[in-house]
Amino acid sequence: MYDTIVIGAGLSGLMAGIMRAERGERVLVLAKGHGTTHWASGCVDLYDSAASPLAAIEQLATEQPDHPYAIAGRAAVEAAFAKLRALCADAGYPLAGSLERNLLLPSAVGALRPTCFAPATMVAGDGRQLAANSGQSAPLLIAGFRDLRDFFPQLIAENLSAQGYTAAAAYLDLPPTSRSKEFTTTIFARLFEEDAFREHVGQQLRRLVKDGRFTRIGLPAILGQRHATQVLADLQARCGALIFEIPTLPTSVPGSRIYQVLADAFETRGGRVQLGSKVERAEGGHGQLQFIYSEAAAREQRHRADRYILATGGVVGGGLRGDYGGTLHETALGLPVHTPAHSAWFDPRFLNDSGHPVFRSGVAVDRTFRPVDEQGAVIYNNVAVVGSALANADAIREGCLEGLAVATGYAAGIL
Amino acid sequence: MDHIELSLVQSLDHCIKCNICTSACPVAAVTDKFPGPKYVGPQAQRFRMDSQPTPDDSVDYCSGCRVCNQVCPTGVRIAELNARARAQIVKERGVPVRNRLLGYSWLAGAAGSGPQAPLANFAMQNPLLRQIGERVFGVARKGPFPSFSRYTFRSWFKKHHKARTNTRRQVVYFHGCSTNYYEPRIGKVTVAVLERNGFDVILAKQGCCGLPLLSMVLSTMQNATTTIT
Repeated sequence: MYDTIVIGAGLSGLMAGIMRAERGERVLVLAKGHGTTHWASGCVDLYDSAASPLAAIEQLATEQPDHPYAIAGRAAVEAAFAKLRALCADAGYPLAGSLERNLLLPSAVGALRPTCFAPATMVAGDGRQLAANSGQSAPLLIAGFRDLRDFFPQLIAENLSAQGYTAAAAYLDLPPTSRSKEFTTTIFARLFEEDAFREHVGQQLRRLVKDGRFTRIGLPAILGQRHATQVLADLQARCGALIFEIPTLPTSVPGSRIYQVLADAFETRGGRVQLGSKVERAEGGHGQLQFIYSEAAAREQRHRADRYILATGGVVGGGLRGDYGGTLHETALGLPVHTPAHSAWFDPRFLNDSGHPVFRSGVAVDRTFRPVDEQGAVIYNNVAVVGSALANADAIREGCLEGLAVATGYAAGIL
Repeated sequence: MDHIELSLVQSLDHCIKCNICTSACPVAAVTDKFPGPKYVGPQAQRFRMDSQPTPDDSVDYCSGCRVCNQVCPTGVRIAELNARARAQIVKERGVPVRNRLLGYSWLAGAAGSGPQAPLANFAMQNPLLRQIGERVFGVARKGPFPSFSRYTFRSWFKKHHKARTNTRRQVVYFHGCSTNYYEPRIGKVTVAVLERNGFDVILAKQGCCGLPLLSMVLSTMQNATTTIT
């Protein structure tokens, strides 16, 4: 018997779980598998705005009172980010950035992507710092390994150069290792925690820095799993230039690091994570959710708690699913999905400025995140819905995927 | 195709190739003879046809631990796919002696644990014997074996067991072969914790859980666990 069961182990679920556990509750996080954290960049977007993202969401709250940020409120957003930063700093994996100004970090194709907070291991890639670099004779180097699929230094360097950030590209030789065939991001991250591997890479970088007078080097985000901060510092000391990580395609190492930071924080506060347990249905009535059932070996497992937090994500995370008939379903509890009629899902223009109406679909909630039906009546008093499962936000277009998860998870966690 | 097989085949299409399974896989972490659950599972499965020989053997390194299933964000039944693919290899070529040796590990446990344990442990760690074992049976000489215990957990429990208390809180403890033959202290501390918390511990008659048989492909999924435990 738990006080709270959180369904979903992404950013919103773990934030909610941590906050409930800090109140002394017995908390279980049930999840189908690892969340979308492992697919994302490991950065935390608040809002895509050239000016202050915090000011932008305050504006948003007045214009769209149903937006999840408006429900959470500015104070919760600020407190949630402060909490997340403290958790990461305590784990030796600090986040850098400001609620007042976005960083502009190179992506895996060399585009500059705005984000609010990034791991300190990425910060030296900020566009503003690169700009200061571009007038000098010492340009930027982007380096990688041929053995790492889907990371092309030349592509990134050329795209950055085209935007005025002069950059060169190089492939590094693979240091001697027992492996010969499979080099995924995770395997590289483990190799970078080995002294001998780092020494070999460090020597190559030092030579490149000496020959090319580079002051900054962008490397794929594979620089260590549990000790990324130390790995980065060590490589910088060895080569004498600033180093920054560039997010890769999944599996995202920085994404898995932030998952680990939060899952560890949750467990040290007494919480329990149970993966491989997809919640498939629920039982309740009279405004109370009583039981939830998860898939288990050859049977269903029944779970019971006083309170439930639904953090299963949107279409990508598997919290929402569309059928061929044009109906969207919420997959765990069977809650109604607030969505336009099927015929109004898409704007005829693919690249429509204001996006497509279907992307604002999700579970509608009241001011305390309780799910409501189309008439606005609360369905379950003891359920809160957080993160991408919420209606009335177009998180990818607004650039607020992680911020929304962190803020609503936190807000529901302290209710 | 039965409904289980159908659900496996359908789950192939849920794979989005994110490689989360590979990053969590304990086998892929230590050897690249095993390219990872994604490759040998949902990807290679597309090349396995009923009427044609198995295209790739690397799936045989899968230990059947199911971590891939646990972490998969889209619910692909990777471990089951792998178990069936390995069963197919065995069907084509038969079961190697090695698999029979390791699969019936409880027999080895029963033979090696007890007063003769020091002798058995000496044999298992002897480089010459291990070399012969590698040549003859195909058991890697560097692969570590657990140490047999001088006494089994069940023999300890028989002596230890106190008269039943009046408590109505009873627990049936399924200790597994490893606890019985190799690490009885695990069972001892478990009993201590349970008794301290007021439980009466009962040991039911029990055999192999079926996992070694499953990972050595000596039994298919449906009958392994149900018939033996």
